[in-house]
Amino acid sequence: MIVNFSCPNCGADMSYDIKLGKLHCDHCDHSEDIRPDEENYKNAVEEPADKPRYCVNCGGLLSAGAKTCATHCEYCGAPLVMADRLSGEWRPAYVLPFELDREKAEAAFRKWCHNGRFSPKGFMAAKNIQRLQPLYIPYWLYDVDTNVDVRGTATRVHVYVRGETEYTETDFFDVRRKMRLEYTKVPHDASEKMDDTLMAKLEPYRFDTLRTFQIPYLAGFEADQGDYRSEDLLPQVKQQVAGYAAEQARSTISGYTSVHIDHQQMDYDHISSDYVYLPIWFISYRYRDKDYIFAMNGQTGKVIGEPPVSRGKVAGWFAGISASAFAVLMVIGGLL
Amino acid sequence: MKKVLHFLMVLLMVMGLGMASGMTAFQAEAAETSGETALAANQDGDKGADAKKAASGIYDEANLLSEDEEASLMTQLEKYSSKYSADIAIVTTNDAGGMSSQAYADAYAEKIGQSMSGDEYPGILFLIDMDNRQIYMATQGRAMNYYDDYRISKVLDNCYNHITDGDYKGTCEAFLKGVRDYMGRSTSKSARMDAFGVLIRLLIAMAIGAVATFAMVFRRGGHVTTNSRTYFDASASHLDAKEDRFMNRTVTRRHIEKPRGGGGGHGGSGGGGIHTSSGGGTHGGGGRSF
Repeated sequence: MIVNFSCPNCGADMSYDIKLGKLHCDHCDHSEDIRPDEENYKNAVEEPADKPRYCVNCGGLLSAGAKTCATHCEYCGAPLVMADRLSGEWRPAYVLPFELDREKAEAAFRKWCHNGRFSPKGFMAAKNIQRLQPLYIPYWLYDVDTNVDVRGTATRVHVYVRGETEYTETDFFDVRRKMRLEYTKVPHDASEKMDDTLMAKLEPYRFDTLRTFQIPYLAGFEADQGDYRSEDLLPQVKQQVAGYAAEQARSTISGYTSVHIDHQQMDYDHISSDYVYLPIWFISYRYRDKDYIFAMNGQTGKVIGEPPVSRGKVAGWFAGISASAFAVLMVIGGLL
Repeated sequence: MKKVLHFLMVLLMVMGLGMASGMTAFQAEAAETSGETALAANQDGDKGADAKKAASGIYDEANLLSEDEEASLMTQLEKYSSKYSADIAIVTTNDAGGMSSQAYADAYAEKIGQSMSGDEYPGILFLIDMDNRQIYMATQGRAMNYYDDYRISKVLDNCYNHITDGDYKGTCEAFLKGVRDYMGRSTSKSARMDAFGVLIRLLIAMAIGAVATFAMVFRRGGHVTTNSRTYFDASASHLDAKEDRFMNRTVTRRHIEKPRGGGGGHGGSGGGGIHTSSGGGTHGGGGRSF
């Protein structure tokens, strides 16, 4: 079931306007609030992947993949949303709307390029943005409660001198911490083709602006359905949370010279997860006949990606740091 | 870009070499000035010239050296004596007459006329004392500026290695090497930095530069900014049990050695440092037992 939003005023295509936070018609400037509309898509059933799909606007045959949930018609440019692929188990609970519109995203990217320590001068001017595309990436947000029990031995060492003898006093302690540590909205991207390490670098997101999902939020964006189910990613998430809990429990054992953990027990309960869409600006930049790809957090503006390196700047930093270190060492040497 | 890189590399090398040559030039200059003043002093007439003759020489009273050995050492000694404008004496004895090596050496130096004055030739005397079983190096007058505890220690280390083998010629040669290395070179702090020290510092600095730059370039693509607190929900989290139970205490003891004064080093006590002899002159020096 392919959905498209027509302006009730002039019939042109409406899409979600980031600045207004509403559906907006560029043609006649009409805008409308996003209302709960789950009713409209209650009966949408996901159709077989091999069944051909046609644009509801112009009728053209769409070449979009089997996982595409939101896109633009390649012939008439109409924003389309595949409501059937956003139903049943793949109906998202929430969406985090974009906070940076195209203008702000471009400005944020230029600023990031300009601050590049090793970026060549030509790159820093950021005049060659090839593509600036807003995407919604599918994620699972997990709530996990842990009960961690750590046991170990800690020492407190005290050294003092009396007369001609040095005394080393070592006190041994048996330490134990049992804590209940709860973690909420731990994100993990549900897309196979997105590199997990890269996605993790875009975090954190602020979830205070999270909205209940409605189909119109995706109008005008590119989005895919998730590849992984909640239970597929759970082992990784548990491992991640276990790391957090162990570190937190360990940090409460303080005031000792050394701590050695002998025994650690970790169990989990109240595990729940929500399927959501998080916003990302996808940037493609051309510099000296080479394409560079960057991703920007659509809410915070954090940019990740590897910009080109200017040899001159690297040499400059190397010389500068070496010269300073040399000067310091010479001064220290002279004082000895 | 490559040009900039090359230019900066050359700049760093020039800096390093500049400092190295600067240091050696300074040292050469120091040696030159000492030579000039000494020449002026020498023009004080024959009396000065006679005294100088006896102040340098080999006084092998314990007969530890053969005639050939003595002759060969003498050539070296005279060469250095004129080259560095210094009074150099080597003395061996079987009987220190109840005196310590230090006292004997100082007295001998005064006897043979090594100058206590800072304006005339620096005087240095090396004593092999078979009675007290010590090797001792005494410095007089201006020579005290050229030999601090560290340098005396280094020379004696070298001599010690030879004398424990019973190689008396080698011991004397090690002493003469010590004359060659340090005579005329002030021990002031700026000259302590030799070319090797500069090179080492340059290499370390470049290593620091390389590591720091590499780390920054590697991290330029953005890094993780979340930690264990990012997703932590404090509202319902709580501590269930907390135990810090004292079990036992162990105490270990270690006896501290009180540090001993003087020349120090392996092989037993030294004496020396700056001191005044019975004759009233000021001397420097250090010794080592064998």
